[in-house]
Amino acid sequence: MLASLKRRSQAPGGDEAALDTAKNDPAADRHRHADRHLGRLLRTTTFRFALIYLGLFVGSVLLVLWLIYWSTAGFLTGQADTAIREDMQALADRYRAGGMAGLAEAVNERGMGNASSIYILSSATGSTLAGNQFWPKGINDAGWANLPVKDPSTGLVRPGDVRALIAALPGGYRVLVGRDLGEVRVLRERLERVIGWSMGLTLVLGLIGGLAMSRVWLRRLDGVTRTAEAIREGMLVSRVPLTGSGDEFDQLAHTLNAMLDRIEALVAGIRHVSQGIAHDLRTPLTRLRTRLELALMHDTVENPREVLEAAIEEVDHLLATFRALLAIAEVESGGNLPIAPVQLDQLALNTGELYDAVAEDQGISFTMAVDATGPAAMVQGNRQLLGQALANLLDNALKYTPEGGRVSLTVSPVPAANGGPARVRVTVADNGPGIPAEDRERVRERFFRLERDQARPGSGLGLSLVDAVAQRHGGTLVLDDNGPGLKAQLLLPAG
Amino acid sequence: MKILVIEDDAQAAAYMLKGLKEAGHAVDHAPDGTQGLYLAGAEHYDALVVDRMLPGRDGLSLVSLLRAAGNDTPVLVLSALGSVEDRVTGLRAGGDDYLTKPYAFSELLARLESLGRRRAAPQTQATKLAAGDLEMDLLARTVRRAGKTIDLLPREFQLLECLMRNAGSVVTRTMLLEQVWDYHFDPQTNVIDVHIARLRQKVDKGFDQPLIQTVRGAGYCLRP
Repeated sequence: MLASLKRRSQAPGGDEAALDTAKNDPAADRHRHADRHLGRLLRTTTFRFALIYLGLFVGSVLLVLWLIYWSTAGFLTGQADTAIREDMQALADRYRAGGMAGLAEAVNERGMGNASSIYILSSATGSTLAGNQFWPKGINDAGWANLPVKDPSTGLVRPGDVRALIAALPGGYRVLVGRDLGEVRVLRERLERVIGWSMGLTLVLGLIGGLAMSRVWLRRLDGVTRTAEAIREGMLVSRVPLTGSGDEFDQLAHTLNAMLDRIEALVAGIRHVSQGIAHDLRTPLTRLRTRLELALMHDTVENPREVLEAAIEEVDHLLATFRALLAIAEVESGGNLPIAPVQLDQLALNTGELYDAVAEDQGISFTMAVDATGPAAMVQGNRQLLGQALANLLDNALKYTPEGGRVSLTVSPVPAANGGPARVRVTVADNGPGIPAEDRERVRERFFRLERDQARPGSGLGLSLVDAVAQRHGGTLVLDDNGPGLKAQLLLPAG
Repeated sequence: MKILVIEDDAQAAAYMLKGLKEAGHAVDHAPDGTQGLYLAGAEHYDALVVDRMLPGRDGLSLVSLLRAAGNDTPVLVLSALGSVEDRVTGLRAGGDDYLTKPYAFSELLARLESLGRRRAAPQTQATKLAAGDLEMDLLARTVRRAGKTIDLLPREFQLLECLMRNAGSVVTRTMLLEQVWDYHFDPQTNVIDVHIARLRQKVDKGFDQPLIQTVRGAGYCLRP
């Protein structure tokens, strides 16, 4: 038979949150969109990081709560055990003083009006001699036991709610002292509930936080993605938006935008070159074709040799343009050029001497001055390319300087400044018409020629090559006014 | 001269063969590297023309193999790759001269003849050059024509030396620029013409017979 014990607390319930079972509304579309959006969020790296972090966090919270739970519940159980042991000790004292009668009296005294404690004295046959409950069936051995309790209000059996200590006496008598630990159980249940809820809350908040964080990151990255897509579709002008916060995303956007600027400029350059090729090669090709066609039409060309020679000259000119274009492309492409120490002073003298005769022929006074020699005039580079760059500069100067003009070639050292390396400067200056300030950048472009020079022979590639060679050697080409004339300076790092 | 042309492009080879034969040379043709290597080893040639990109075996490895086998026939490497770098690798592989496509046939001919001549008369032995009444002393660095001393600047001396070494054959402007100035690019202005004009002033002025002649569409020739 089971004792009925008073129930002290209500079971949890009635306050479960009703799940939001949103049905497919008119806004089904929006819903689908949201689903897709969520799917994207769940796949983000940020969200995965958030999940990992959440897992670690939940794990450690669980550990802490478990410790609290065990120390609390364990303490209460231990307290009950102590009280039972003390009771049993008191009963033993009474037995020693008053024998079996004293014990029965004490058992009845203690059991009276004490609903949460159980005291029973039984005979060897198991019949209850004294106490506030009947002796539970099947419990015979001395020692600790957990007895089931029948809840009087619900009729449900709660197993192991009563903690009991059974002692055996001479003659088969037994004494049981027990405590109803329903209260402790209720407290434990409450603790478990609290732990469960906090875990759930932590999970939900963590997930929401993770999603929110991913959304913020996604939105920032979306700017980059959208820009990349726009560019892929040919809108080279689009740029990654900046928030102005200067954070790493802004820095990334800034770098990407700078890269896009460069690409846009390069593409514009290529477009310009293609147009240039189309124009500059088509014109002489047409001329060539016409010339040959006319020679064919008039069977009686006085001198067919002359026609052929002129045609070859035209082809040679075309090939020269072609070669110059390829040379620029080769320099710019960054291939594997043979690099060796070059004495720029000697190279300048050598090249100057090559053109000295031309200057004299054209009635132009040509002077050379070398202030940098030895190590100060040494550069690491490709002699052929540097020689060609110098030749192009001299060629230009001599081409545009009128008879009686002056052209000078100087090599001078430029000491290291602002942390930069020491440099060598080769200057080719003339007193010709010069280049207007607004065109000094554009003359570096392939095929660009000044309006006034269109009638003169030339490909518009000379300065492009010089510029490319300068850049290839880590140097710069500076074009300045020589008041009047052009001062072209080739600055190359010495070493 | 006996020349072997190793070139896979049939049309280009046909033109080259025709031109070389018309210039009075005996020419053989190999359409790929394997046959080229065989012929070059089996026959004696005065010069080889080797295309860089060949089926069977590429031109540069062919030249390297020939050189490794002790064959020192002068080789002119032809290439569609025109870069500075390619030129250097071409010469390093054992080529004696390098010509970029497209080239003028006159350029090819002049270079081939110059290569053949250099082999026939090794330069190291000669200390004196002569062409007609023009004499050049390479050690004393003096030039005399008909017994009369001609004063030349160092560069003019080199220019004349180059012409005299190739006396009777054409020397192109690019060859002069390469051999005298060591520049392997074409300057836009014809600077060489100006230098030749100056040289002519000193060498030919006052003499009945001009020695330095212009060959139209090709270059210059010193003809005694």
